[in-house]
Formats: sequence, C-alpha cells, structure tokens
Amino acid sequence: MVTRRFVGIAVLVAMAGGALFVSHAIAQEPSKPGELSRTLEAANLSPESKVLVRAKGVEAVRAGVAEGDVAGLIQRGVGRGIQPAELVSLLDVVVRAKRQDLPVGPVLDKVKEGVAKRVPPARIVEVASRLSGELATSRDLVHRAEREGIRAEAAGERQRATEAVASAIGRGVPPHEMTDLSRQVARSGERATMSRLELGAQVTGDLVSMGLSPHDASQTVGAALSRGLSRRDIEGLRERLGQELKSGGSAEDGAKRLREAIRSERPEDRGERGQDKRSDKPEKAEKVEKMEKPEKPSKVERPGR
Amino acid sequence: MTRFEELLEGKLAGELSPDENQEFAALLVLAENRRAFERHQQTVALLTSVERQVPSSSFTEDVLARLPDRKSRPLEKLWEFLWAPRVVRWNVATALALGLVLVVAVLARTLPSQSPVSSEMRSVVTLFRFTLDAPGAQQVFLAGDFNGWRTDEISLADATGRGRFSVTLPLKPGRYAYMFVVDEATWVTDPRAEAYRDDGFGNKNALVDVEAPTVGNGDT
Amino acid sequence: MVVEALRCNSTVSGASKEQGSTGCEVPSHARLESDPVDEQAIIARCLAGEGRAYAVLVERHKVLVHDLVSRMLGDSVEAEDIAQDAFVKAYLSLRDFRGESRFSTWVCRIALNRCKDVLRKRGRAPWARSRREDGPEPAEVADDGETPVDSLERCEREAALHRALARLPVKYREVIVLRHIEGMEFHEIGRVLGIAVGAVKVRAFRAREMLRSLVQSEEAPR
Repeated sequence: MVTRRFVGIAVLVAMAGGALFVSHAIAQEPSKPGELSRTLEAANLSPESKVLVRAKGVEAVRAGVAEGDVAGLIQRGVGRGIQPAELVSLLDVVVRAKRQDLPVGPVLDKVKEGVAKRVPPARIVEVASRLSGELATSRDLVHRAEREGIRAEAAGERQRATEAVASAIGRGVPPHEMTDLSRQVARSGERATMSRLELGAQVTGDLVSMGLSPHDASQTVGAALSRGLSRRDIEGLRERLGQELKSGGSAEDGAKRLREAIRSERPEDRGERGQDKRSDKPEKAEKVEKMEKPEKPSKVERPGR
Repeated sequence: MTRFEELLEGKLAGELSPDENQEFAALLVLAENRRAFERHQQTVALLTSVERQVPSSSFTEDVLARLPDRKSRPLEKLWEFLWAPRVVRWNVATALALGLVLVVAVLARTLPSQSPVSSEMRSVVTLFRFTLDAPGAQQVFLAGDFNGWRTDEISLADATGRGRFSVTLPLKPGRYAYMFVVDEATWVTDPRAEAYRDDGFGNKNALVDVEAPTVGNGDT
Repeated sequence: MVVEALRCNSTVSGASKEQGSTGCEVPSHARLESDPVDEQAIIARCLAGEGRAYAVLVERHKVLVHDLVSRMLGDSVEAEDIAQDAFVKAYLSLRDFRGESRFSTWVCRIALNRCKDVLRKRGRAPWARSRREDGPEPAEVADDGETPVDSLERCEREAALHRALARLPVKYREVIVLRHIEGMEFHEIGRVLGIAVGAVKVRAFRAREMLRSLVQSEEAPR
C-alpha cells in the first residue's frame, strides 16, 4: 500500500511538473511547427532564394529565435519587396544577438520597425547591430550592478532593466554615466532594485531627449534615486524640467535647480526668498495709497508692445 | 517653505501621493499644524465661493469691432502662407464601432508578452486611448512595439466624423514606442505623447509608459 | 483580466467628451477647456484674414480674462475695457504666439501686464478712484433659496474679501486670483507669470496667510 501510494504521488508530481513545463514552453514560444516552411512555400521567391532564406531561417530557429518570429519577419520582408540577400542579413542580426545571449526582443522589434517603415535594409542592419552592441554593454553593466547589491524582485526585472539601460545608452548616455547611476541606486538601501534602475535609466534617457546633457541628466536622476524619491516623483522630473525650460532658462540651469531642490527637499523657493524680501508685507489701511512697484513682464512668449 | 507648508499646498491642490498623504496626516497631530490647515482651507473656501464677474453680452462683438482689417497684400499673403502655423487636416473618414471590437479581439490574440511579468501582473492591463487629429485622412492605423509594428492591424476609428481618430488598447505594464500611419503611407509622430525617442531611422517615436500596479509595500 | 482606469495620450477636449466618448482619465495637469490643435487652427485662420474666427477664442476665454482683470483692478466697468484691450492686443500679436503654451495662458499674461500698466498710472490703490468703495457688485446668483439675511451676509463677506484683495501686494493678488478664483493649475500659473512652479506655491501659501488676516481686519467693526 505504501509503495502504491508512493508511486501514485510520484506520478502526480511528474504530471504536474510536466504540465508546468509544457505551459511554460507554450507561454514562451507560441509558434506552430512548420510555420517557417509554410511561409517560405507561400512566399513569392525563386527556388534558389527560398533555399538561401530557409537556411538562415533554420539557423535562427536553432539558435533559439521563435519560429513564429522568424516566419513573420520573412513574410513581412518579402511583402515589402526586400531582396533575399538583404532578408538574410536582417535575420543574421537577430541570430547574432541571440548567440550572444542578449535579449533578442528589442533587436527583433527594431528590425520589424525598420521593415514596416520601409527603411533600406542596410540601414536597418546598421541600427539593429548598434542596438545589439548597446544591449551587450548594458547586460554587463546590469550584471555588475547586481554584484553591487541591486536585486531583482520579480521575474523579468533584470531583462527590463537591461533593455532600459541599453535604451539610455542609445540615446546618448555614456556607459560610465549609467554605471554611476547604478551605484546611486545600489546605495539606496531597501530601494536598490532592478525596477528602480530601469526607472532611472528611462527617465535619464528622457531628460537627454529633452535637451539635457547626459551628465546633467544622470546626475539629476541619480540625486533623486539616492534620496529615495518615489517613482511618481522621479517620473515627474520630466515635467519639472519641462516647466523649467518653458520659463526660459537653460536646460543646465533648470537641472541644477532641480538637483538643489531634490537635495534640500525644498521646492524652488530659495530664489523666491532671496528676491522678495521687500514686498512681503501687506499694505496697511492708512498706506493703501502707496502702490507697490509692478513687476517686469515675463520674458517667455512676450507679446509685442 | 517648511516641509509642512509644502505638503499643505499639495494637499489643498489634491496632488499628494499616498506616502505624502500619510506624512501630512502625521504632521497634523500637532495642534498648531491643524489650525494652520483649517485656516488655509477656510480661506480657499472663501475664495472659491466667489462668483466670477461675467462681461457684458456684447463683449465679443465689441472686441471684433475693434480689430483692424487684415486685408493682405499679395506679398503679405505669401509671407503668411509661408509662416502661418499649420495643422494637418484630413477629410472625414467613416469607421464602425465594430472595428474597435475587432481590433481588441485581434489584439487579445496577438499582443506579445512585451516584458515577462509575474503571473499576478500579467492579468492586469490598462486601457489606453490613442487619438490623432487627421481630418481628411481615409484611414489611420497605429503601429508600435506592442503589435510588432504591423501597419494594418490596429485601425483607429473616427467616431464623430470630424477627423479625430482614436482607438483604445489594453496594454500590459511596460514602455511602448509607437507611431500613427495615415493612409498607409505617412508615418506621423503623436504630437501629444508623454515622451519621445529617435527611432534611429530619422523618425521620432512616441513613447507611452504603462505602470505595473503596486504590489506589497507599494512604490519601488 | 483586470482593467485599470482609462488613460489617454492627449488632453481630451470638451467637445469630444460631450460627444459621448466613453470618458477618459485626463492627467491632472491637463486643461479641459481648450484643444491646442483646435486653437492653432483658429489662429491660422485669423492670420489668413478671417477676423471673425477670433470670436471663438474670445468667447472661450472672456469670462476668465474679464474676471481676472476685475479682481486685479477692482472695477468691473474699467475691467471690461481692459479685458477687451487684452484680446485686441493678443490679436495684433498673434504672429508672435508660438503655441508653446495655451492661448489662455498668453492672453492672461497680456491682461495682467495691462492691469499693471493701469495700476502704475493710477499710482494709488485700486479702490481710490472706484465709484464703489466696496469693490465690484457681487455677482447675481440664481435663486437657490438664499434668504435676504444670507444674501446680505454674503454680500458683506464678498465686499470684505474684495477690500482685502486690493490690499494684497500685486504679486500675491495675481497668484491668489489665478489659483483660487480662476482655478488654474500651478504649472500654468507659472507660465502666465513667468516663474517656477515652486515659487508659485510659495506665493500662494503666503498670499493666503496674508489675505486671511486682511479679511479679518476688513470684517472687524470700524
């Protein structure tokens, strides 16, 4: 009886494990077997071209790229009139990324984007290759960050952080600035998480896109991260910088004021205090005749007089 | 400005985060702070109860009557033609609400797992509405990394017939890049996006951030 | 599938909401009154010679501008003239309007500058030349069951508020009016006044503190 029960339990466990494995596999790679073959059969290509493209397609699938993704890319490329040799070079970029164990999703997306936008294939290869390089740099950076104490708290956080850091590098933030940023995150104690690093990388890249120098952007975000500001406040740095820029100041001055505000945990009223000492008092009833000197008109979008 | 004053200002404006609300509530333990808060609330109530002074019924006509004639000379017309701010306007296109249902059904099948998330968060989506003003357009599609940049999949509907195309998508947490495709040929950057990024091909992608719901202690 | 609240990529104009759209959680910083794209189209038409198109912008913002001027100057008769001046001046400078802010922000800035010109020329407090010592007539409100006693108390309270507002330094008065009477968000006030949001918040705080004590002194028996 004991033996039968033990065997029964073992079978149940094996079935449960198998079901989990299968469902995981299905979730990860929802492709239908033979999709590559079916796509190539239907493709408007010469037999020689089909052989060429098939070879690269099979190579991609063997390297671990989802068959559905490979087939989809071939279908779209053929539909856009991309020549077989160029199609092969597009697939090759993805294969190389996969072989380097990089997150292949962003590379594949970039290739799909280029095809959709009818960008010349050589240019797509160039941009996607550069992206692969950024992902490789980013991956190393994130590994180092993990060794310095930044932890992933949920599945996929490490990969998302890698993609976000790569994106920031692609927007012009040098790797050493991202390294400094990751150190700021690592120093924030309980909040030293991959999702904070991802957030920091995204907002840093956004600030650079708004005109800030990479150094100023990473310093500003780094200050916010190391002060433990909330996600909302860090995302709000974009809006605050936008307001600073609309006030007519330079991006650097705006960033400097932001950093001062973050470090002192005060809004930008230091300048206010400095300037407005004289006109703080209300007018007394008996002095109501005396008018306060009007301020200068604003400089921003000044209407013509 | 003290921290309390800063939080008070935020509280009156309804802008405090949950953490800040807690912090403010803790500071209200002090009677002095409570009194200050009440005083400010009363002042705000007094100000907001005031009725606005409306102008006379002939106000607009009076303004128009004071405007000079803008009869343009040919050269001035040319100058204005060159420098006048322009808005892309397209003809009214028709769309069916069923198209929206179809799009959502297609997306439910094809939306990729952009970022692997925990099984809890995988089931949470945010509905996000994308809108583009394009009067004169026959059709507008949305393409982005949430649908593999397919340009013939997510169609926007012009429900009012005035050239305002929109579509609502369920999006999982993550950051997405996208552009609109007008009449199958013209790629248009969303002018109202939260952020932008060069696509590397000479265009500017719009970016949208969809946040993961807070789990456990909340903000990370 | 759990669905979170609806978000939008754009500020939803009042028009699209009225047309029965399913509603949209507009970011807190968005204004609902005007659509910048729509405004740009109207401005383009005005610059092309269609003066009457300007009526749309005037209609949309006349209450805001008129009330703002009225509060700053304390005289609703002159306020109407000055408010009209602001719209005319905005029309004449339309080519300079780059569309980086809303039209309402821009015309409010013009209106405030005009108010400051008037106040400077007057050289005295807004009430010194006003025919009404207690400021503008409190606006008529719809009959909602207000008793004569309530009505009188309301009028007296508003009169005290007007007198107190007049005694506020101009830089506090404009922030108080824009924020709590016109209901503008901080960042937009910052754009109107050309100052940082933080400075707006500090001024709003101090203005309220000062206003409160002024109102109390105005309400005290003389």
